[in-house]
Amino acid sequence: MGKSSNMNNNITKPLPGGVSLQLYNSADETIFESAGKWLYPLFEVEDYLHAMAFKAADIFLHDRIAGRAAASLISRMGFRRCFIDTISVPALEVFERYGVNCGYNQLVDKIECRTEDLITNEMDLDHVYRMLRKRAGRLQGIDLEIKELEAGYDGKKILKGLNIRMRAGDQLVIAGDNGTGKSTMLKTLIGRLQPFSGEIILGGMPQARVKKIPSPVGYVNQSIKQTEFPITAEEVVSLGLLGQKLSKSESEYQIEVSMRRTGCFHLAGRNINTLSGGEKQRVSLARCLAQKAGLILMDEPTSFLDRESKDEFLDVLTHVVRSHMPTILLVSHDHEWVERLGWPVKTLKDGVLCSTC
Amino acid sequence: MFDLLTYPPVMRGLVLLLISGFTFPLGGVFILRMNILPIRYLLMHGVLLGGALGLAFGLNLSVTSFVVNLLLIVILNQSSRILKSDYGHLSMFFMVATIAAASVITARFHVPAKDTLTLLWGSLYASDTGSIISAAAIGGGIVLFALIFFRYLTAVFYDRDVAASLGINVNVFELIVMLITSLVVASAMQLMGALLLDAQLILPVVIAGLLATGLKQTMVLSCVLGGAFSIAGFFISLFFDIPVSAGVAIPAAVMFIITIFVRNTKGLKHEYIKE
Repeated sequence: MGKSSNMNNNITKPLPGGVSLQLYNSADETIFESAGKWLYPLFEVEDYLHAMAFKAADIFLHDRIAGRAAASLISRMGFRRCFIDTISVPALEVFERYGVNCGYNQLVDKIECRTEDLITNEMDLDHVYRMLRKRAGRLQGIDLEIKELEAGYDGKKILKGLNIRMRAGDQLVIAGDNGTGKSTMLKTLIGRLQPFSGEIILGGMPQARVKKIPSPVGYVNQSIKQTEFPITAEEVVSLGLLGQKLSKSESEYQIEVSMRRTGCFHLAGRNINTLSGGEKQRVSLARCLAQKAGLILMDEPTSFLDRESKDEFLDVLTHVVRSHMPTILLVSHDHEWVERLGWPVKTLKDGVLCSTC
Repeated sequence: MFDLLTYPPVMRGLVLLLISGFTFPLGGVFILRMNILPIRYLLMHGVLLGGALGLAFGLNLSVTSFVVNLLLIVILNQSSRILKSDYGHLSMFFMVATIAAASVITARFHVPAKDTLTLLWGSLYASDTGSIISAAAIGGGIVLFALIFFRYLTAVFYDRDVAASLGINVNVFELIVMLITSLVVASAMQLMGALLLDAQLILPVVIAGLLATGLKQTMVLSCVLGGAFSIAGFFISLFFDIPVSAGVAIPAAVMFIITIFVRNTKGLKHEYIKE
């Protein structure tokens, strides 16, 4: 039994042999197809939409099979219309809940797959998405746990028993006045300061045991440091490749992809000192992407940006979060910008996180 | 003029100058990029102390100078970390302490001060095969180091916090860079003399910094310019019968002035067009 009443016949025809997913444009022409298995074709679709700057709402998706996991991904990407050869009842419910018009050839009670069992009704789309990306090995973020951390300078305690827990792919803003320990916290996390006591656990491992190079920690600082000495944007991004065993062409590709993702590839040959604050931050973010940093630490990234640059950086950052899902710990006292970012905010006061201030 | 090249000391001098000219400017890149210019004055005084020690105890002057400079760098680096003071202030202190120590040794062991001071003037034509091997080892070493650790250097030069986040032990790496730099400075001092070593070490880098857009370009251009100034300087010195170090300084200074002039003119033109 099927449901395809208001859909074009061409689209509802079974997919060609070996093809598991197709995308059609408004003229019903095939613009993308994949022969991948499991949920990988949908992740490919996500990359494709991003690369082509297409909106999912304008495109029609035809998938061979969809359970609750696939339906969640399709809904989250923003598709409004799709056709599934074989669909499960829970998947249909997901489509109905998120207003996706879905046609199908065959309706089954359940798709037999372990992933389907892991998704519960209580999970929202973001939660499901994060879990699926993790299972697909496409979640760049790592867990971060800071336990009772005490650190400072010259024996003076600035962080006094700091506790933070972030799941892989989480984002968190730490706000607070000057001198509350925000920079101390970041310097301890990048290894510039040794903690007096406490523990930092990265990706489930104590910081001391985490492989130093390539490092899983990326760092974006304020863009004030200015030297007379020339260094190109490309050289800065290439730093992210430190310790990665890549051929020359692979390195070049990795640098290009990272720079394109943050919209700074056209600046590759420019001296970093001649770039604007916003351009420098895009380059820094591209460096973290090239590094495949699981945890990105950002120290007041908008301090020296004008309004327009802040807007642009917000877009780039939102995009990076959506496409790579790194864990990001951002320190800022730019309240307005942080509010627009929409990430959870905690305040650091007197060296501890304050829940009431 | 070219028949002078048939004399082994002159030929050896040219070979030495070529080796140092094409490789030592990398040390200049390290000095300028790490902002450790005052350190080279400390190293000059280190050479004097090494010379005094060598003459007092009958040791090889070059080796003693190298060792003294390496020790000074280690002490300076560790003091800077422990006292949380920058290299500029500390190197001033150690400079005074070093020259005081050299003075005490000179007086206590009746070392002829004039012999020690000749170290400051360089002795290109007095060099032997050992000097060539030593310069080649140091020059080759610094080129290899720059090739192998290019990204490490870029990271530390760019931003120490970023370098640390990339997993680099910044303090240890900086110490290694400074030790290598001290070897280059000590070696260049023997060739060019303390007073004019900047012509070979620093000026090519300053000019390259004005022309290049990236670190790799700066390094390559510095070496090319350093080599070119050395060759030109060598023949200028033969032609005008002046010290080699002065001969090297002349094309370097001329090129520096031209570069600054062209850059400023371009800048003015650019501003004019913008207006």
